[in-house]
Amino acid sequence: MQSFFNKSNTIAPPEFNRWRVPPAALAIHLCIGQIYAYSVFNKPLSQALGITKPVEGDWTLVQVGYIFSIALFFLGASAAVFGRWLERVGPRKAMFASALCFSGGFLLSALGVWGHQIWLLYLGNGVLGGIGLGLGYISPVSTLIKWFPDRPGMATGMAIMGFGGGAMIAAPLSIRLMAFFQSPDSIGVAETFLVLGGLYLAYMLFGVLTIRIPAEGWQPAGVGDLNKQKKPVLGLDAEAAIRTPQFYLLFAVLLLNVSAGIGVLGQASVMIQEMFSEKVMGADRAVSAVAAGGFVGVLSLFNMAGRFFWSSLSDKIGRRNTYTIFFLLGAILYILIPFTGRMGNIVLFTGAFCLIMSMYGGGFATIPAYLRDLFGTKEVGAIHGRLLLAWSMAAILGPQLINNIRAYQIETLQIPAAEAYSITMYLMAGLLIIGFLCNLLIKPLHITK
Amino acid sequence: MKQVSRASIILWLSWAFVGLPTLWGIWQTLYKALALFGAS
Repeated sequence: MQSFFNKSNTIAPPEFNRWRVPPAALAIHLCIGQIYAYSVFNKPLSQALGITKPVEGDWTLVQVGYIFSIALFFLGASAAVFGRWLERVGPRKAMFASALCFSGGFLLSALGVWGHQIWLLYLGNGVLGGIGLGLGYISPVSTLIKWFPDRPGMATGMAIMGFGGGAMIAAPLSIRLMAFFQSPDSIGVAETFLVLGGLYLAYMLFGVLTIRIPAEGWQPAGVGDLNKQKKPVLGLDAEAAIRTPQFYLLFAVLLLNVSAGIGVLGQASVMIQEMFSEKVMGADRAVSAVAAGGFVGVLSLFNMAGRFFWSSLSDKIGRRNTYTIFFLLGAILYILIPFTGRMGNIVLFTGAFCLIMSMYGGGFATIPAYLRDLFGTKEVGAIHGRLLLAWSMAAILGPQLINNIRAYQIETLQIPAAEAYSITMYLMAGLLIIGFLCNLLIKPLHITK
Repeated sequence: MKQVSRASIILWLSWAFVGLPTLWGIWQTLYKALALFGAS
C-alpha cells in the first residue's frame, strides 16, 4: 500500500497519453472549489437551533462567516508550508492527504452541527478543510506543468478552471441535499456535510488513483527539443526563488490583480442594486435582489471561462503581455463603470464586469505558467504555494478597501449610495496601474544548472 | 489495436467523469442566471 503512494510508482510508462492527467487534476479542483459556494450554508447554520428562524443560542452570521476566512487562510499557509514536501513525495501522496483533510473536514463539521459546537466547524471546514484546499490546489497544477511544457498556460488553466467550476456544482447540489434532509427537527446541514464528505472523498480518490508524473527527461512528441528553446527546464528551488526580486514582483502582481477583483466580486450584488436602483432608474427598470443574484451567477461563469481562455492565450502572446492586458484593460474598465451607472446602461455595466471577472480568474490561472517561465519546473509547486499567500492577503485587502471606502462616503461624506462606488472604482484602477508597473519590471532570470 | 482502444475508452471515461458534473453545474448557474435576469 505504501509503495502505491511512492513517487517512483507514479511515473508514467512511455506509451502513456498525457491527456489522462487533466481529468485527475480536475477531479481534485472540482471538489475543493466547493469553498466558493460555502456561503449557501451560512443562513441555515445561523438557524441550526431555531430551524425556521434564528433563536437565542444560534450562531450569528459573523461567527459562521469565520469558517470561510479560516479556510482561505489555511489554504495559503498550507500551500506555502507543504509545497516542498509535495515536490519531494510526489502528487499522489499529497493529493491523498488533501482528499483525507478536505473530506475529513466535512465529517468533523457534521459532528459540530449535531453537537452545536462552532469550534468543530472552525477545525473541520476551516483548518482541516483549508489544509486540504492548499495541498489540493498546488499538487495537480505542478504536475500538469511538467506534462505540458509546450502549453503550460492551457494546462494549468484547465485545472484552475475546475476550481471555479467546483462552486457551480457545489451550490445547487448542497441546496438540493439540504432540502432533502430538512425536517421539523433538523436544518439538514449535518446530513448534507456527511454526504458531501463521502462524495468528495470518492471523487478525489479518482484523481489520486489516476495521477501520473512524466519520466525524467520526457518530452511531448512533435514539439522538438524544449531543452534547446528559451525556457529553463529545471530551474531554481523554492528557497532560491524567494530570494529573487522577480518573486516579489510576481507576488505584487497577483496581490494587486486579485485584490481588485475580489473586492468587487463580494460587493457585486449590492453594487448593481444600488447603481441601478428604483430611485435612479425608475420602478420598472430597477434591478431587483433576485436579478442581482442572476448577475452574480453570470460573473461566476466569466470568472471560470476566463481561467481557461486567458491562460491559454498566454501560451501564444506570453505571460507578461497577458498581465499587461489585465492591468491596462482592467484599469480602463474600472474607470468606465461609474459612467455606465450614470448613463443607466446596464448592458455596458454587465459587460464591463464580466470582462473584469474573466481577467480576475485569468490572473489566477496564468500565474503558475509565469512562475514556470521564470523559475523552471524544479520546484514550481513549492514556489506557487508560497506565492498563494498573496491570495490570502488579497482576500482581506480587497473587500476591506471596498467596504470601508464605501461606508466612509455614505456615512461621513453623505454621498448617495448610487454614486458611492466611483472613488472605489478609481482606486481599484490605481491598484491595477501599480500592478502594471510591477509587471513591467519583471525581467527573465538567467538560470545556470 | 486492442490496447489502443482500451486506452481510448479510459481516456473518454475519465473526461466524462469530470465533464458531466461540470456541464451540470454550468447549466444550473446559467439557467438560474437567465431566469433571474428575465425576472427583473
